[in-house]
Amino acid sequence: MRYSLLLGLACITFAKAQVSDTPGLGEHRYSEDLTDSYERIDPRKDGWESERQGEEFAARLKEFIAALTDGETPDPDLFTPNFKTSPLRPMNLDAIKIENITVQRGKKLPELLVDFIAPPWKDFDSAVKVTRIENLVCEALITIKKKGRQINATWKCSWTSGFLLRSIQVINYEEITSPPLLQDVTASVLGKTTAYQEQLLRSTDHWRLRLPRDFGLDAPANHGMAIGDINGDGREDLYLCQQGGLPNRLFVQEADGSLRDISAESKTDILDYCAAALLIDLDNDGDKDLVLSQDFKIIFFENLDGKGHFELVFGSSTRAQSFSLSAADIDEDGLLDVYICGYNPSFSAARSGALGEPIPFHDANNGGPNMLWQNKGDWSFEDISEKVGLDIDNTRFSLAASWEDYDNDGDLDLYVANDFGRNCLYQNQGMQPNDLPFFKNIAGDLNLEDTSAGMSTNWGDINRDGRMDLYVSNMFSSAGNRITFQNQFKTEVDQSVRSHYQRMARGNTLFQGNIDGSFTDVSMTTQTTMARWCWGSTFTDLNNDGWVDILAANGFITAEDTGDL
Amino acid sequence: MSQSPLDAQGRDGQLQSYRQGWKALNRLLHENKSFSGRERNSAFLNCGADSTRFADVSSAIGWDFADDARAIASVDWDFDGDLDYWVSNRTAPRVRLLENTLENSNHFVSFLLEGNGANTNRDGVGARVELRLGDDEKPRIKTLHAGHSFLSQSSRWLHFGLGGATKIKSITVNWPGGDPETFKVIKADYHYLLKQGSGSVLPFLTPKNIKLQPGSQSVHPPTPLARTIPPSGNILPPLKLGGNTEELKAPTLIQLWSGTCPHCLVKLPKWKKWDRLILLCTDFKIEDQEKARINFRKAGFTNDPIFCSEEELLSLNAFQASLVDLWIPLPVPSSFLITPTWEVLGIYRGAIEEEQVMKDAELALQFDRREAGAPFPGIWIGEVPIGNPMRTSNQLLERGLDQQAISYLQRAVPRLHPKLSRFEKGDSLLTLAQLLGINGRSAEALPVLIKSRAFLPEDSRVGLLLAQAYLDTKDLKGALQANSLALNQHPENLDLLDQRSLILRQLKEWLSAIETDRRITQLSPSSADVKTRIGSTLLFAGKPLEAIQQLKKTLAKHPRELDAANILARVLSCHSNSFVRSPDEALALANRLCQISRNRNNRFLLTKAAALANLEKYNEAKTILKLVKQQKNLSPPLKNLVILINNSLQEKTPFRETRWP
Repeated sequence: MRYSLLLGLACITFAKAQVSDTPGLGEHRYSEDLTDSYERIDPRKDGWESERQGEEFAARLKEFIAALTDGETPDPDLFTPNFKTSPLRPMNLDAIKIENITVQRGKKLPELLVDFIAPPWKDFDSAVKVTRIENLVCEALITIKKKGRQINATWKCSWTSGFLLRSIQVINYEEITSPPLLQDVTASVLGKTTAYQEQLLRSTDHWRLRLPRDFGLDAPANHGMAIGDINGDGREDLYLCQQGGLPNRLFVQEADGSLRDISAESKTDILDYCAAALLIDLDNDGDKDLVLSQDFKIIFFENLDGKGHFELVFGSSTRAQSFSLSAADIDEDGLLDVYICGYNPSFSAARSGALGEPIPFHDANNGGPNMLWQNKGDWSFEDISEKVGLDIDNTRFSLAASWEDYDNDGDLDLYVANDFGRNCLYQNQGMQPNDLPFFKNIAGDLNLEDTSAGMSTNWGDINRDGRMDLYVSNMFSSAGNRITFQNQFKTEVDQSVRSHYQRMARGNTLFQGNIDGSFTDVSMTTQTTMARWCWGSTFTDLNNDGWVDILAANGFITAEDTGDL
Repeated sequence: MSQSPLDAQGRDGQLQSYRQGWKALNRLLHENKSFSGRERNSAFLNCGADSTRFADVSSAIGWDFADDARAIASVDWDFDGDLDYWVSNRTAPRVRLLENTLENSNHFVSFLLEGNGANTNRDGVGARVELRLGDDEKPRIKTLHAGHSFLSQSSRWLHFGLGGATKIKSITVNWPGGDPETFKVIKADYHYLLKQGSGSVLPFLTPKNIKLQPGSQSVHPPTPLARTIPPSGNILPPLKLGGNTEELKAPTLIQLWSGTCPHCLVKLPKWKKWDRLILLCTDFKIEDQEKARINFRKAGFTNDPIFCSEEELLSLNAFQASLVDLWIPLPVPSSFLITPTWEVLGIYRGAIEEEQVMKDAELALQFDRREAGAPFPGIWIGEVPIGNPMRTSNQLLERGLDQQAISYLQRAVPRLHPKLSRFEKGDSLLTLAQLLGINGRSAEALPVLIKSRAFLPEDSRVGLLLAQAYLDTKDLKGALQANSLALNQHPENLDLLDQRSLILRQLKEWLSAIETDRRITQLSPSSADVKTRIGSTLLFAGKPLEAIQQLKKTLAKHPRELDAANILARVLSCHSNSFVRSPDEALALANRLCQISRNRNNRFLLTKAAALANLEKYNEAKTILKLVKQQKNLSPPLKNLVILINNSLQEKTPFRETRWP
């Protein structure tokens, strides 16, 4: 009965299908050398048998936890007869109360017990990530969650060669109880606009299948936004950057908080690929002008009437695929200057290779240049990177930069996050006789190079000691952790190179600024590394307690397939 | 991805394989596969004075969306005293506004800065605000940023959470370009304006009645139907179309269908009524074709359907992929709208309405087709794109379809868009010529190269390929002439010099070849192989003593240049002139070479066999020769050498190299 019902459903879908697969086009085919490279991308085909083990371990742990959250007894076939485990919810928990948020953590871990007691996790959701693997022992990050509740645990699991669980040691346990602070209100502010309905409710991949590539589309889809009051009514407005072929959108806030799309009337509905925007007052007339980081260009628009009617007044090539923008008045003439990050160099015209081609991978210096555009007044701008010393270490595939007076000496310094090269901290060394400051990259001296794939930078004072701390987004890679910590990884090189690769997979970095001007890497003690494949991240005070928290945006490419690299 | 070369000057092979690795990785991004996908956004709560360790509250606070998220901007959007967040995504929904519903007893204060617009920028960007709540505490500091994190600019309001504090003792603003300014004591839980030079905080009248409603976002499900309007100048790959291809007089729709596709069968009768439509059945397998024939007749056709070949289908598929960023196999039905010159006006996945096709056919007269291709109106800043056939030929090559790449370029090159730059035109011709050459069709490559020279008169690659084509067609004089012409323009081009040396050696102009090689070693002192080659050429030139000197010098400078040692050992054991020979030295060298190569290098083994024979150690020589004889796939010259050495062993006479005068 059930079977025929399914068949019936299948027939309906079949009849509705407006296209079918073309016989003979199912499999991707490649030239010989590419086939070889493809096979090496798959770690299992590249000699990493442990990756297959890792999949098995993860699958079995998921099955085990699913039984717990379903309130069922786990299948005995998952364990050895003498299976041992710590209490999955430790007996003694320390509690920290932060207003209405409670954080409980396990004391004195690990402890091993003989008998298994089911923890009280019925009707929770769960997730498992295997992050270490060696000789049939794995470490896994476990998340158990439900509205307002969250458990973060690390389990060390030992297995038989037939993938039966021998033991679970809980080596880290944290339990959160919190009101669900954030709620999605997007539809209530944007819902009435066509831009939202037709453009923003469709995935990047929708457009990538149908718009000509020459318009400027790519898989990563790194498009940001700017917030500012563009019409002087006291309400915040939103400018949204989009890929080529899709217009950027300017939304102004109405009295009831809803947004109106004025992209066309404001003449800011630019169709070219655009990564970032700034809404800043470039001519000190009291309104917000617009700067765009537009693929291989930087473009300045003037807000003509303070009401959001814009005109393009200056543009230049940047000789690089451009990313983040950061403004500051560097020459202290009262006019804001703009720093723009460069990724792929324009001569290789290489957005086609969205990932670039860094050489060498871990310390690349063959990217496009970053630039500092000096605002000379009267809407003229000049690239003064060389004059101020910012042309040094400047082609490292940069994605983000932030100005901050990190050394409390009264002038602004600059931190730059590089995707494939070492990061830079340009210390402002003071004014030169030409009334321009001079910058020197001292990231190496301060151990701030953070040699991972840097994607974003933030300054903030996390411990309220009056010194700015620094948070940098990188990639936490479970696979990277699984592989680079194994004894068989890169046996031919010494530990410093291995550590380097391990560091690349570690995740985000938090540097604490010390009173003496040095920095301490506190990522591990603060437990702020595991933010996955991270792009934007920000210091922010979520709960007004005066202590800055961290939000991180992550995930690279989600497609319909189930396989994942 | 374990083969990153250490620097750009790394060994070529390694760099090549690293590049292939990146190419494969970059291709993967086009193939609709997840890559660190379904990751949930992370949030870490600062536990303040109670613990240095942050707490992972990602899901508990409602932040852990599984979007491919990118930029975050913070703003107190509704002025209710807590921070809200805009997030941009790669996936749908492309944006989220997350309202903070914070309800606790903590306090806040928020400031909007305004510089004087003279020595300090009006926005106050770069200003550092220091807040003092009590005498015993360090000031709370925040700097106003414009552009931070990744691709985002947050609100200009500086928001301070205050915990239990209800009053601020003092505020100091360090204005960029101005003097520090202190503002007076104020009450918490308000938004204030800090105007440079005013010395006192001004109340800010916050907008009221901002209504935010929670609700899910209903994203559009993916659809396989698509209409793509490519830029001008994209030419469809050649199709036989049952032989009636040259008759196109007006825009025509090439409609792909398959007997296995239910929707195609539904549409067949309708397509029958269209005028300028050619139906092309994709069922290239004989076993599928019968079903297509039957369905075709059922639909009222009296003739047989036109079938495309597998090569044609693969070419069409590679072509469509070269125009878009996401490479998904072409479904059926799909269609291509083309002009009489086979320029593509539209590509349609799924059945398309006749009305739309009529409209798109008019694009033939239009150079800039971006407006028709973009789904929304807007302003373009950049240049109008033009189709470049190398896109498609690269797709075909990367898919291992070399012959199709040649046919495609042969079809597209005569139709290159006039507005393409001369570099793009020249490169297309050059690529075609190179592919013809690699595939043993150098005679056909010659005229293509001569044409490409018109576009790229200064390009050294043209001369190089032209000379190569002459070489391939056994026209040594022509080769030398083409090479000389190019060398005149690029006297220091190593590839051209290398080629010149090769041509001269083929012409047996030994001394000129040596002269050319010496030029190379001057320009590139690290070219050990060329130094070895000079030694070898000296032997052919009848100068064995100079050759020995050259080879020894090379070895002294480049101890790992084993070829030099091998030739040296060969001379010392096999040269016909007894003054030149030094049998013991030769054997010692040969032994060392075999040891280094662990007896796995056939040439070295043969050298050792010859050296042994020369010392009348015939049995030992035979043992060594046996090792080589067992090998399969020996190159013809090596096979020949095996025979010659074997003969001398049989006759128990030393082996003598006869090629050297």
